[in-house]
Amino acid sequence: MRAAPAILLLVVLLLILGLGSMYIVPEGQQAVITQFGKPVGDPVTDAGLYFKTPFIQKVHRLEKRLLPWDGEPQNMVTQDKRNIFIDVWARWRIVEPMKFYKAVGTEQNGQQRLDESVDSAVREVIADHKLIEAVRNSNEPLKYESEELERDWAARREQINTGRIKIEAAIKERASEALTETFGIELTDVHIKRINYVKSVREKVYERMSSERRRIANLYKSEAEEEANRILGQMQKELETISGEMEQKSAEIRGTADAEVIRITGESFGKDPRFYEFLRQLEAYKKTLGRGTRLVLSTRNDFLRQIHGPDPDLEE
Amino acid sequence: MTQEFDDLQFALRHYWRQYRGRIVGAGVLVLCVWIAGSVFYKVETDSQGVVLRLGEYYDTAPPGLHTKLPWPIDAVYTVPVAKVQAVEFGQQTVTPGRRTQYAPQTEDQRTMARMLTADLNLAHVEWVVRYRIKNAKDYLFKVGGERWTDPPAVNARELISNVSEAVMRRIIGDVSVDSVITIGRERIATDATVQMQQMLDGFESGIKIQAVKLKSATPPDPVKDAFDDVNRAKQNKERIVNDAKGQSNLKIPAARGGRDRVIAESEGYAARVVMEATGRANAFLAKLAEYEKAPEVTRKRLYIETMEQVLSQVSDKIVIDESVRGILPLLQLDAADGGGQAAGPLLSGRRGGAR
Repeated sequence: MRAAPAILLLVVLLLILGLGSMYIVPEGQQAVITQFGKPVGDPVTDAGLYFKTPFIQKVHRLEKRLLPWDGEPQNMVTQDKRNIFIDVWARWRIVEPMKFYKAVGTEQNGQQRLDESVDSAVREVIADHKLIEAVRNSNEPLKYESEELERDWAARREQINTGRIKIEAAIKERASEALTETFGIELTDVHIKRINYVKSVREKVYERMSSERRRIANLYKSEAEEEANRILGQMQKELETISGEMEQKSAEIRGTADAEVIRITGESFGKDPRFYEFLRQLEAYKKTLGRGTRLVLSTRNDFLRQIHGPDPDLEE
Repeated sequence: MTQEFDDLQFALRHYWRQYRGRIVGAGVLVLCVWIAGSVFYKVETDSQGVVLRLGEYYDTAPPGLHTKLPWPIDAVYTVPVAKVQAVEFGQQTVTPGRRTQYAPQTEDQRTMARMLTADLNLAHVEWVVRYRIKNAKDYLFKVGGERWTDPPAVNARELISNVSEAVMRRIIGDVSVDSVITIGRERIATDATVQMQQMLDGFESGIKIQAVKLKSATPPDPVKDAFDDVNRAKQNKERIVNDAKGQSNLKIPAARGGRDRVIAESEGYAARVVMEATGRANAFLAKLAEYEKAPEVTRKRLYIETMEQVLSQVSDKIVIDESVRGILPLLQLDAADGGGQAAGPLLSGRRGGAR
């Protein structure tokens, strides 16, 4: 029993020693062991339980996961002299932890290394290309609501040779050159987040867009007039044709009928024109000598022949 | 020195003998509490629990109550896999609902919404991305935050934000401004969903995009009027052309109807006139037939019949012998009643009194 507290102390000491010689590297993490400040041995890249010399050796943990990098918008000029703001983001990984630890140290320092490499890579690549190469990704023809604009675009047609994705790849390649060899960093992705005009250029673009649209609006106005006039002109022509038809047809019909009447009466009355005249005159008297007429007759009138006395010829 | 050590030994032995029971009891209690706390764990209904054993991935636990080995052997990280979250671009919802309220747009949001189209024009696009975590293990251990922490920090929102902007701008950078504003909107949302998912899967992010919705795609404010003008002009054109067509459609059938009517009238006239003439001709021919049988007699008969009728019609008759020449000037030759005019010495009546 005398040894009991001593044993207890020993157990505690062993425990502390034991704990100090074990360490866990969880998933998503990697570690570099240093001895008296100097890195030793191989870096630990797989998750699990590991052992080291307690107190003398220290564990420096590093991210194994994909790390973010987000650049500030940079002002630069493209090959075709366009003044733009461009904003790029990237993702990177520590692939050689030993190299990284020696050359860079912490993830935060890594960010700074990326700042330098990526920003200058962006500037170089952008200066070598036209703006359209960084905006478009294919040469598919553009569709518009009005045919006029489609024709306009087809006439201008700017084709791209590189395209947005290839430019992103070019930036990544150029930035990677320094990073991998020296710092053990792998740049896995570089993407353009935003491209925008500087304010003064933006205003000009707005003006261009406005005048372009106004031109289309005016085009619609004149097309409307033209179309309406065409329709009304057509209508007028049709109306006149119809009117002409009407006149012609009715005149023909009436003319034919009138000719027929002349033929009929001519044929019939022509059989005895004098008899016709006689009848016609009698009819005329019946019609014209009406109630209000004052008739002054001479006793020589044939009707009144008997007035002087009975006809002496009758007995003959 | 030895004296102090002996004293210490003695004191320790004393305390041990005195409180042995209580010390052991307290120790056991602490051990129990510690085990209970770190052996049981609960996973919420909308989550999953990722278990690491001695740092290595061991298991993903579904919702419920589970046991594990105590810390530091086993560690559990819960991840809300069922929860759908949203990231908004270019706007911010203040009150969601059927009539969503948005906060007034800040300069930053305006900048975020502004993008270049393939014709190097500018458009304003506001969109929202809805996502959830589909793979808890990948989500925790593949894509990281600024540096390692425990529990592991994952900046999902930043990743989605970056991916979303890059993809949206890439898509819009390849179409015309008209496609963005009107014609191609559906396609843009679909393409964006596909491409964002591709990029996120490339990172093994364990994130699933549920939907990408274009909340708004408009021309920038300074050019809105000009764009509206085009729409108005287009609608006006339709209206004007339709008016003209309408006029035409009204007048032409009417004119045709008029023409047909007039032609029918003429045909009616023709029929009538020919029939009348035929009638008169036939009447004459009949009379002629009769006349030819006895011309003299017929002629006289007709004459006398006519005069009979005429002289009974005429109300004012004056019979004068020719030798009486002086009377004519004394006759009142003005029409006294009925408006008839004076006749000459022979039979000649004017129409005046024929009513």
